[in-house]
Amino acid sequence: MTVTLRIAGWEAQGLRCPDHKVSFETADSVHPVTLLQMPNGTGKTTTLKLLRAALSGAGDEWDRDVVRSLRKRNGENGDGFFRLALLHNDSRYTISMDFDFDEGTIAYSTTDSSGNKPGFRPPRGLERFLRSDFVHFFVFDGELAEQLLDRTHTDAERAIDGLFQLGLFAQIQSRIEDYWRERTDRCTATEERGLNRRRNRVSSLETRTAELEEQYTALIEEYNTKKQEHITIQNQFKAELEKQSDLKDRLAQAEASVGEAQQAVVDAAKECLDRMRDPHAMSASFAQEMLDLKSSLDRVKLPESTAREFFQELAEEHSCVCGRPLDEAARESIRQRAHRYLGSDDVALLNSIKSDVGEYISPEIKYAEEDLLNRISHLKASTRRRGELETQRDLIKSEGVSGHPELVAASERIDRLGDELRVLETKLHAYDAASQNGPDAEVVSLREIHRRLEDAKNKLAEITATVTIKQKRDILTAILKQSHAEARDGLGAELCQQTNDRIQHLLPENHIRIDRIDKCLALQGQEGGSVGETLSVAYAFLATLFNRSAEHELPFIVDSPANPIDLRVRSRIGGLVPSLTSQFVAFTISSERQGFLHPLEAAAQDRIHYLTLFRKGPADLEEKARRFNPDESVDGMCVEGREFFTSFHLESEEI
Amino acid sequence: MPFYLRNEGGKKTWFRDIRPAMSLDFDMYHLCLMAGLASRRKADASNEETTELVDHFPGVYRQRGRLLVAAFLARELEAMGVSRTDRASLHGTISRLVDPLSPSRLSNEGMKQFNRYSYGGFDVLTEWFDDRPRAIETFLPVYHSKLTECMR
Repeated sequence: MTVTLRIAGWEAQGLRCPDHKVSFETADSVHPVTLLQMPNGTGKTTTLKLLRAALSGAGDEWDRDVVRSLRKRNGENGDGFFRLALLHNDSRYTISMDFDFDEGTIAYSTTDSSGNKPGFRPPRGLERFLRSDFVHFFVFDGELAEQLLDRTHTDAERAIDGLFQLGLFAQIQSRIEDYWRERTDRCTATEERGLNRRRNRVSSLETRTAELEEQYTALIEEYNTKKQEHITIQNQFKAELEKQSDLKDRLAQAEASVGEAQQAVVDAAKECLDRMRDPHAMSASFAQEMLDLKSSLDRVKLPESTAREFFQELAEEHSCVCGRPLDEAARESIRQRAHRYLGSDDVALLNSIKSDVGEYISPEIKYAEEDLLNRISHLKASTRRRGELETQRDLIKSEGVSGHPELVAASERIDRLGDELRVLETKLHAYDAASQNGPDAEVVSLREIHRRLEDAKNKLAEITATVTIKQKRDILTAILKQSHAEARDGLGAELCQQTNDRIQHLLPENHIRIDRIDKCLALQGQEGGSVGETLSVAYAFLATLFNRSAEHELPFIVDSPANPIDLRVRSRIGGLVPSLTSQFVAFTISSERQGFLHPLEAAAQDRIHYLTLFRKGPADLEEKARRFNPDESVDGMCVEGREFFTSFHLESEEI
Repeated sequence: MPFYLRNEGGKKTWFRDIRPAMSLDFDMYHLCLMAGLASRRKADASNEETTELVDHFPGVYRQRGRLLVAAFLARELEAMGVSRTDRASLHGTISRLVDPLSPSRLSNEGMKQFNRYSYGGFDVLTEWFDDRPRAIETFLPVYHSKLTECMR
């Protein structure tokens, strides 16, 4: 279904242009061509600005100064409005902009068949046309046609982008970039090189971990084997010894004595450790230091006998404990100084510490350390005693071994295995270490290597995810760029063909055609064409863009269509305009009529709607206008009809 | 805030052969702490390098907790150069290091410094002993001898 948009009219009040109301409606539609003559100083620029803002919602972004600049000159009014009536297919819409000049704000509202709603709410299907970056392509001034042909401007390309919403490709690219940045903000590396580096680190750590685990397993196996052998040979050795009946009892007795001595050592060590838990026993110097601390605290009266809370409570009273009255200054002073005192909990703790020092240390200042020393001496003696008993036991064993070479060999083997087990324990200890410094290749701690591997894997996972996202981003971006270029080229080619067909149909004698769209319109045979011919091509291009019978039909609202072009060209453009669009509204000044009006009237077959809007002032002009039954407001007059239109002339316009 | 023990000084590492002769993990901490206090040595250790123990003085240390705090305060006041006759400085420093409402009676700052003595003490132990201790009965006398030497 074709989407159509027509301008039904508008009304302005309290604004910089004269208060006025214009309507382009006919009984069944709108006038195909309307010439709205507004002499300089009538507020043509203001009206066009309001029209664009009403069509795009751009007024929401204006700052207060811009809003206030639209207030009627010398006006005392605090408000104003601009109402634009639109016809969308068969439906009527009114977009209102209500100005509050005191606040510097505009309130938009939209009225349709369902009623009035606040805000700018373009009709469904027209959203893509009613945007500030697009409206200026169908509400434009006469210079746009020239710019479409100018290599320094990119309007042709932008018009296509805007109309077919090709800007969405760039928006999607921008979203992808945002997502990429969001995901990679905290990453330390995002490139392929970083990925390879981290991949290599994981690989080398995995190799190192496997090596260490293999070594560790082998060591454990070796340790267990030797340990088992150690136990077996010891048992065999003992059994062989016990076969010598004379030794058996002596050895059993010796073993029992060693056992008792061992228990004595354990008990002595326990006693010793228990005493070492007293810091004052560990060293008399510690004891003295703690007593000194207590004395120091006593000397400076810490903790105080009075706690901070006492003073905080006193600061809430009206009189001191001595009866003297307390004013606010005194109370504040007490509050401040209360912080110099410990709280009651602190007082209790310090008192407990001092009490413990006094109770536990003072009575045994010398005794505690001596007691520990005695216990250590006892421990040493017990250890010595155990050693002696072990030597005696070993002598009995040696006695049993002598003369038995197999027992000698077994005894040596036991000793050797014991040494080997100790070496293996040391090695295993290194593998069991909780942590280790140094390069990966020198680390043997399994926990450390696992930790490093885990860390490296996490970092690899991070960059792998990042690199994957980057690859996706690059692919998507390339697809979007290519799609944008292909869409633009394809649409450009199609529009070129359609425009050229239109020129062929409307202006068969025009020899210029569009070759391609490369930012601007690139023409074929431009050298042989006149300015009028090339501008006609530009207008035909715009008409092709905005009046695609199967898709949409938009109005042309043109400010001074003939002003920028010389008299020789005006007739060609004037003759072309009615065939370009189903609604053409031109803001003109009287000097544009020459060379433009007659060809336009001829082409439009007299279906032209003439309006002349001017600011009240010249008495003779007002008097003349009143003869044509004008629409009159406090400061403006709007006259309908060709006679007044063609006879209208203001000196100021010639300046 | 709890007590932390250096991993290298844990029951599976440096102390592993004599740990069975101790009734508490805190014994290992205590031996490190006293070595640190005696040698006035503090050290830092990250969370990864330490193991959390308890936040209070456990078992047989319950009664000795305040004495250990007193020994620590004495060393810390000395380390900070606080005059024993300057009441305000004494008051300020002690208030900063103790917290009567914490299970250990140490404030966070106090516990931090307490732990630093223990970390430093482990370094001292590794200097006192060429190898990890294999038997409690040989370890304790040497430990005490070294500590006494250090206190002179």
